[in-house]
Amino acid sequence: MELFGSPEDARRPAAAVSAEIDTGSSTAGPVRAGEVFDSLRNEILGLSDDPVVAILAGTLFGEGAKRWQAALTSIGALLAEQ
Amino acid sequence: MTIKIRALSLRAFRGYPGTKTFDFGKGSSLVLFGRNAHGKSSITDAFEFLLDEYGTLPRFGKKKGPTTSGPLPLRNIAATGPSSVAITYRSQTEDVPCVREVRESKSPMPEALIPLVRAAVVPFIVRGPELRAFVEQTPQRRYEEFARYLDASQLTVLQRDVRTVQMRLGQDENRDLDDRKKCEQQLKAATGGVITSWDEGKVAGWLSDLFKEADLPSLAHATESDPAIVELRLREANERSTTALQTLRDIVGEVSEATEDGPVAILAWRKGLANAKAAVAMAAASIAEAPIAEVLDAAHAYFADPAHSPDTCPVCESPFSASPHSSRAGVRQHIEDVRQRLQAYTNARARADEAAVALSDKVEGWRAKLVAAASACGIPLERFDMLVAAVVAVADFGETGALVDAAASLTNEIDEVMNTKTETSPGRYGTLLSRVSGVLTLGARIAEINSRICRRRRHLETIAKVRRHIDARVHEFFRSTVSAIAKRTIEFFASVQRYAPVIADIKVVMVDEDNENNRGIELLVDFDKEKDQKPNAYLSDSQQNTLALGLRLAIIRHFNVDLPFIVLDDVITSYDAEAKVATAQALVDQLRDIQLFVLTHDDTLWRQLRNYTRGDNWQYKRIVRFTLKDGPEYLDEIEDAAIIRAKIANGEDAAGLVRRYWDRWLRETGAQVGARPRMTRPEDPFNYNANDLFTNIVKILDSHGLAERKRNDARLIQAIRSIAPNELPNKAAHEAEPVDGAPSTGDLLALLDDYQKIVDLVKCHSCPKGPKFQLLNEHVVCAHCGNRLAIPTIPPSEGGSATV
Repeated sequence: MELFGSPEDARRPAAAVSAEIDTGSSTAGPVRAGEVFDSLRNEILGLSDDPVVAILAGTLFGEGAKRWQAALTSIGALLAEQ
Repeated sequence: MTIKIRALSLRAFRGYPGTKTFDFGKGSSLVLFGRNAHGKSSITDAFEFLLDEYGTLPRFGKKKGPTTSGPLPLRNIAATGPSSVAITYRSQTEDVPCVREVRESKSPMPEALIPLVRAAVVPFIVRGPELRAFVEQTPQRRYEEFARYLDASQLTVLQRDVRTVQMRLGQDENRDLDDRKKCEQQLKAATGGVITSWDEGKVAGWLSDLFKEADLPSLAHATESDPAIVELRLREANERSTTALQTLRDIVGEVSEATEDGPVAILAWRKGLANAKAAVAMAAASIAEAPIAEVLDAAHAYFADPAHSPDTCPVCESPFSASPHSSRAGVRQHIEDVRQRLQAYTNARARADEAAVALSDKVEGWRAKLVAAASACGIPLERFDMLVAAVVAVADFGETGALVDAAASLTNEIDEVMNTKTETSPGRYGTLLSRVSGVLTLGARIAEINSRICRRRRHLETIAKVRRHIDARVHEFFRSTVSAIAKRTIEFFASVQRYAPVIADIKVVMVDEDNENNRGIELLVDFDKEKDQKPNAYLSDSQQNTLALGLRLAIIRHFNVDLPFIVLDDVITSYDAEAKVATAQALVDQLRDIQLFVLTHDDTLWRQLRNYTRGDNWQYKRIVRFTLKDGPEYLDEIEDAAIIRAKIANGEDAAGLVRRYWDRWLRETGAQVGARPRMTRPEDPFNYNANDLFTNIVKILDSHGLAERKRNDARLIQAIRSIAPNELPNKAAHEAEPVDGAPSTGDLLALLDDYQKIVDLVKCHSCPKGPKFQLLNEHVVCAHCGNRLAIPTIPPSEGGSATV
């Protein structure tokens, strides 16, 4: 038995417009998953000047499958250079 | 954009052979009572069918199979026409009607339904039997479900990806650590167990001991640039050069060693060729001696004469029988003899050619060794041209004179160079250098691995920092959702549990946030001294059910913000009367902004909801009968009397209903007119003396107008006197069949009639909302319309004045 219904229920198109939440702060306003994702990239870039940070921000936030592989390849190249 | 359900219509669908329409007006809630198998859940199925991608029910499956039926059972079995479900919902300012037909195969989703489907982020149907599984679901599954509903797959993929990068780099480090371990094992073997891990100081000390034995200086550092190692390399090069010169000398000497007959080695090489050539000569001579001409002539003459008898020998012209060659065999023997001699000659020539090649190979092999040795010594090859030419001359022609001189000259030169070299034990420094090089190579490799590990660890620290940041933000995002849901869940649970002797604190928390495999949303209870326990360990069945219901409602409200609509299908089980009352009140109080569709087979829940919401935007319906031919029969009348009469007509026991009907009227009317019943048990507000309450109500009503009417209405007085609230046995309320002492059907109807008279007396006939009175200017007036109590005129009768 499914937690929230059947597997077919789960496959129904998700409503991104409804996926907003109350952060609990009266001033912060609702936050969407997409907004968190977008802001995370800049936040990570601000964490450090380490080239690994730039690699992660440049690969993991991109498009396509197996983005971690691109990140690993770049980090591998960085290791070889050093 | 808020969506409200305006109407739902079932045609030939599930338990409904005809068409049944529910009109919710501007979006009223509905509570529907129906016994089991009376077509109640067909309505739930209708909602599920409408929102299903394939136009079926998930439990039916997409098509007929070994364990599935497909959508066909959605069609009513008694109906002949098409089966469909229609819904009208209000979105923004317009009503959107939509019909979906039941088909044998996939029924396409009507476009008009898509906004409704999108608004239903989570299924809004709550079925009672699913609730327990909902509580017992794993925390991990809840987390996954939440992520899907939050459309947060981007975030969870990001979390997974950064973990994968971290894990893979960790695996690379493990490989490096393995490599380092292997290198250290090799180091241990190379140093005879003295050095087990790279320590330059220790290695330098160990090498210094070896160097001391070889008369070399000690090492300051175990590196190639250390002066001791440089010295070792010089000595090894010198050693290698001496060895190479000795080798070169040996190679020259190999061909120049001679006896009286000439150079021993080369003559030995030539010996095979000489023998082969002698064999060729012998074979050639043998051919020369063969009677080839005779054989050819005889054969020619013989075959030239056409008249020649084949019986005559072609050699001696006598018959074969008399000829010394007396037979054909003899001629053949001659010919075979010649053939064999020719073959022997051919073979000898071939062997001679092979011997020539072998000799050439020997010379070439020697020359190759010479070239290699000369190169090793750094001597130009031209210096050996004469020697090579001399060797070839000996080999090819046996001319030995030039060879001896050329070899002697070269040997002298080599000896002179060798005399300038330092004497040393052959291979001593080479062996030492090989050992030292092996150790230093291992050291360099270990250093490289260590450097890589060190750099990678810095990267891993950075990645861990990034991961922590991502996790913190994603978890904050999830936690805020969980927090909102937890708040509502706890409120609902506490509200329903307010009568429970011990109320557990409920927690909805995120657990194992950093562990991707165990990350979850956990339900926990604090029960007395037991903290953070699983609900099924300490909560009763009904409490678990309430917890699950509260959580489900909270989730639907949180995610379906655009569709404030919930279907509750038999969601309470094993509840006592107080819990049912509390549940009804909690549903109404906490879900005021939600359009509820409550389906229940629980009469108490239905009545509590009706009583609690009377006058609000609610509808109350009951299914009173069900037949295959006609489907469910509805009773929309909300008056208890009508329901009781329908039950009695159906042959069902209604004594309990009559008693409760009267109880409720007494309580509500008493509350409205200020009559207070005497509580027989203060801790039980529902157990009161009905007779006292009735008397109080009549007294109060007398003081506000009833007495005036009673004076002229004998039937009214009779009716008031005839009511005996305590006469109806309480136990009948819970018995399916009448028991001894229980009233008969006739008694019940008579009693109901008496009650109804009193109810009608104080009913406001100006507005349909039922009795709701208040005292105003010493008169009882209707709270809804303000009219004074209007006791209906009762025809003159046996009359006479009377008092209660």
